[in-house]
Amino acid sequence: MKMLDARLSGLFTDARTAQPLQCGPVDSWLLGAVLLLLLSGELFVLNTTYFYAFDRFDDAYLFVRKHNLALVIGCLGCLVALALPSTVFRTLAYPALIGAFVSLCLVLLPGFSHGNVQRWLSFGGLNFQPSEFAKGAVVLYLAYALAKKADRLHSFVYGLLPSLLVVGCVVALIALEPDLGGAVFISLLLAAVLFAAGARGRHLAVLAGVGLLCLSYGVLSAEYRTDRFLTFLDQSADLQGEGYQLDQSRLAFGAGGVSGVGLGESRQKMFYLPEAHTDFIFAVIGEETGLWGTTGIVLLFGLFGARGLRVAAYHPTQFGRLLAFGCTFFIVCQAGINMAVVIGLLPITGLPLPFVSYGGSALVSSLFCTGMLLRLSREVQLGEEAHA
Amino acid sequence: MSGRIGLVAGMLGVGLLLIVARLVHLTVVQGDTLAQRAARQHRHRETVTPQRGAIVDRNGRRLAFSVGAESLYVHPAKLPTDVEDMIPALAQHLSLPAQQVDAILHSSKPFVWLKRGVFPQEASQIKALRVSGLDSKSTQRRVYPYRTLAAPLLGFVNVDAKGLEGVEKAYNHYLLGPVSHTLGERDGRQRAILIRGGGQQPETFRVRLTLDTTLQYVAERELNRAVQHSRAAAGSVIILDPQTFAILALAQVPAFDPNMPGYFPPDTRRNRVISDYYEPGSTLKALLVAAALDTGQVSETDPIFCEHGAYRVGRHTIHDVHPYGELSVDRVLTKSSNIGAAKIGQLLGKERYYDYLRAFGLGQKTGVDLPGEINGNLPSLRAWSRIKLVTVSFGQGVAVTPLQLACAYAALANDGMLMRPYVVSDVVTRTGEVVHANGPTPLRQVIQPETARRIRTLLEHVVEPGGTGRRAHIQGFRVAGKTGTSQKSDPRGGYSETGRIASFIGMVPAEQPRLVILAVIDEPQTATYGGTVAAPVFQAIARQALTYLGVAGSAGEGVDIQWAARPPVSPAPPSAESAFSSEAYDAGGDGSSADRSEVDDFIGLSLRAAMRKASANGLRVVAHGSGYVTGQRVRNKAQTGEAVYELRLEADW
Repeated sequence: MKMLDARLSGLFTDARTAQPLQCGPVDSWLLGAVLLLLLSGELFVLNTTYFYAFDRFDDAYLFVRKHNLALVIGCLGCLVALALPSTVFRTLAYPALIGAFVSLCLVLLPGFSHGNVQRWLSFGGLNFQPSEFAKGAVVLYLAYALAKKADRLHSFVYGLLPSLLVVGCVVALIALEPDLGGAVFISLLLAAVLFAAGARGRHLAVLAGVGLLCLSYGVLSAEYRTDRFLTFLDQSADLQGEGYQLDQSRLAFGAGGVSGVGLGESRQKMFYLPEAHTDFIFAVIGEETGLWGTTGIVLLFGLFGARGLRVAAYHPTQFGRLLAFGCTFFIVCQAGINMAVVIGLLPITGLPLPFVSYGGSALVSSLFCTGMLLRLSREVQLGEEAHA
Repeated sequence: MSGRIGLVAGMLGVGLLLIVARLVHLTVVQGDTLAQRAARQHRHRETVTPQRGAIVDRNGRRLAFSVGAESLYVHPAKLPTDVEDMIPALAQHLSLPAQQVDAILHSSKPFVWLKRGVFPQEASQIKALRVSGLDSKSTQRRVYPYRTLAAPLLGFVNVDAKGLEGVEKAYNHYLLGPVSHTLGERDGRQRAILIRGGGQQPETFRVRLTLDTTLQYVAERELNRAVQHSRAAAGSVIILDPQTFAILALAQVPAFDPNMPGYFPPDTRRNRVISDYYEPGSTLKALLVAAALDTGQVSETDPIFCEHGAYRVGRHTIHDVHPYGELSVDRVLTKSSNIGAAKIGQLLGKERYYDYLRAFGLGQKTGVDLPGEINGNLPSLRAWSRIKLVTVSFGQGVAVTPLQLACAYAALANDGMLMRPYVVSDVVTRTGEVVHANGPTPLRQVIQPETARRIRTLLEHVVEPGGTGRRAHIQGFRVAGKTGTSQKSDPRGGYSETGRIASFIGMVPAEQPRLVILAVIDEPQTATYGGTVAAPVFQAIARQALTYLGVAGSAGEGVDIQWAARPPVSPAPPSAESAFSSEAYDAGGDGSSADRSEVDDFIGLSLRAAMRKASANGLRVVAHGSGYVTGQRVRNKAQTGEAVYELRLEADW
């Protein structure tokens, strides 16, 4: 492993320093947090899909098997990323971006999509969600593009505009699926990475204004989104319609209380709470393990964020720092939004809980980003950490 | 850059803290309220009833019982798109028309029953088709293995196993058994999960009838035969044990099959023996004479002047079919003279007659343990005009249910003691513990025992040669009885021109009756006399019943060894197994007795009709008497060898 690392480091060296990156041990806090989150995911995907899959398909482990297949693919991706020096990731930026574009366009073409909304591509029985793949691709691309243009970022036209156009196109394609939640999240990701990269506050303020306008248009243009938003504002209204899911989610947390009803004992997952295995899995965690369990999940994401941002702060290269920031933000912000939605702090957006929710594309995408982050964590050196 | 990262870190940290704060709010502050609401929505309470109890006859034969079954239902919205292809298979397995299945599967409702109470075997065939959106719920189904046998008495149940008629309704409380509740939870689709308790419990109580299936079968077969033979609209038979007033058989035609009550008109499902009334006609004369003898107003040999066939009462004139001069009280009954009865009624007086009729149970419910009984119609004393007393004396202007009349005669048979009739002897648990029992319930001594014996002797004369009821005679037994023929009251008021009700009520053995049998034939077409149409039904049933019950013949009468040695009947009703087969159990006769009637049977015809029939068939007849043909014989003329039919005509009324 060491020899392979050394050889690869020789091939792909940092453009500016032209020196091979030193490689230390992986950040064990980060790794630990991810493993615990994956374990919770395994536990609760089994827990929440068991009855549904049995009832619907006569096969209680159908979803678990699919989840585990994605887990294996994701872990392989993670290990590959862990083995490659971060300089290699740069070369992946464009292929990933092009792949994201192609798949996002394909999903919009009639005949390719699967389901009512055009969010999934089907390959021989496996469903693939391009927008999840696009999230990872955008993180990689932004880190690459903004690192390259680090000294021109003060200029709107030369520094920001290319990235804005590229990511704007991705956002537009996702919004067309329609997946407004995904589009908003990628916009947020863009803003955060731009901010971290050092874009001017003025530019960011203008962008935020434009983004809010687009968002309001998006919310008002479709009735169900308007309803969701209004339901969010008045959560006691319409408990049968749009508010039903959120109400059931609250009941799950209430039933769980502080200590929970016990693993596997959730009632709300028995067809009361819609999407109990995907976007609302956090509610089932709340019901079964109580406040302790949910706080634990929040702390794990907090730990993930802290360790990830530490990498972002101390990585020797600008690309590494931006990539680490993007990956960390991608995971933690998405987790935060998902949990906030489930407990009624944000309107329903349709974002999964990373590592935990059922959903193969998101899991693979998250695990690959985590792999890159873990690799970057190995390249953070104590000495540099000290003087940076 | 690290400054900005720090800022982002801070923002993310604040966000995560807000989430924790909200979690604390939900679980600690709102926790109890939310937990209670959640528990309420998960709670599931279901009533569980044990298997519905069986109804058995006095010998323990199961006439009604329940079996486990499935009710199939569909969620039309969840059916697969290719469900069209399965419609023929579904329709075939369920024996439903394809259009009906089609309509159910395309219903816009979220939940539709496909078929309820399907036998498990049938249901498993349907489940083998594996149609998503089609599911079943376990339930129970009522089975009546003897089909139409005793159906109006048994009643029937609805799809929810609730008794709607007959014993099923009257004893629903016991048959249903104790209702328990399961406490469990349900899922978001309202399906029960984690049930504690429940499950199908075996039957708790079993209801045992006083009915005897063999007697019931005999009664139905003979009634059917008579109704078919006389082309009557309907008919009914009651067999009562006069010593206990237990109902041994209760038959009516037309019948219905309680396995599928929906296929029969409601009129056939009613127990007409207690829910229909009719004018008893001459059968009431026995009660009149009993009352007159009991009060001592008359005695058997007192002469009654019968006005030579026409008697004026106010503006009305009443007639006898045969004019009589002077008749003894005994002969008034034997000849069934209306004028004689009217005279006896006038001797008795309306108050006393009314009191006796009330005491015999007319105008009030018998109190039998069956639902839907009516009072009959005994006009209140205020409404009794002079002519009313006269008509009621021969059974007009008063209406009884067949059971009321049977009970009144059973009182005569039971030495004057009227009791409450009953069909259920007891209700027992599976371990044999009796939780409810009916037995002989004396109501009142209507007439003195001595009077009862005297009236039975008079009624025996009715059945003797020369009496109107001689066709009820059974060799080897002393039979007492009375014929009755009455006009049906017209729904528009007054009396129907053509509709007659022929009846015969009798008891046997007359010295100490074991059986009281009433046969009522509604609108017979070939003949209208009770003595002609109904008395043979009584005779046929009584003869077989006596043999079956092993009743010894009366002293002084030649017991027919043939019957005693080998029962000609005792037709064991079809067993439960064979009743399930496609061969329908048919209580009807074999039709052989009807063959002869086509050409040369004149019995029951009026003189005119007999003459018309004879000339139509090229037969020579010689008629004796007037009224209706009650007997016939063929004689070959010595000179020509030509067959001559000698008809004996009699009036019955």
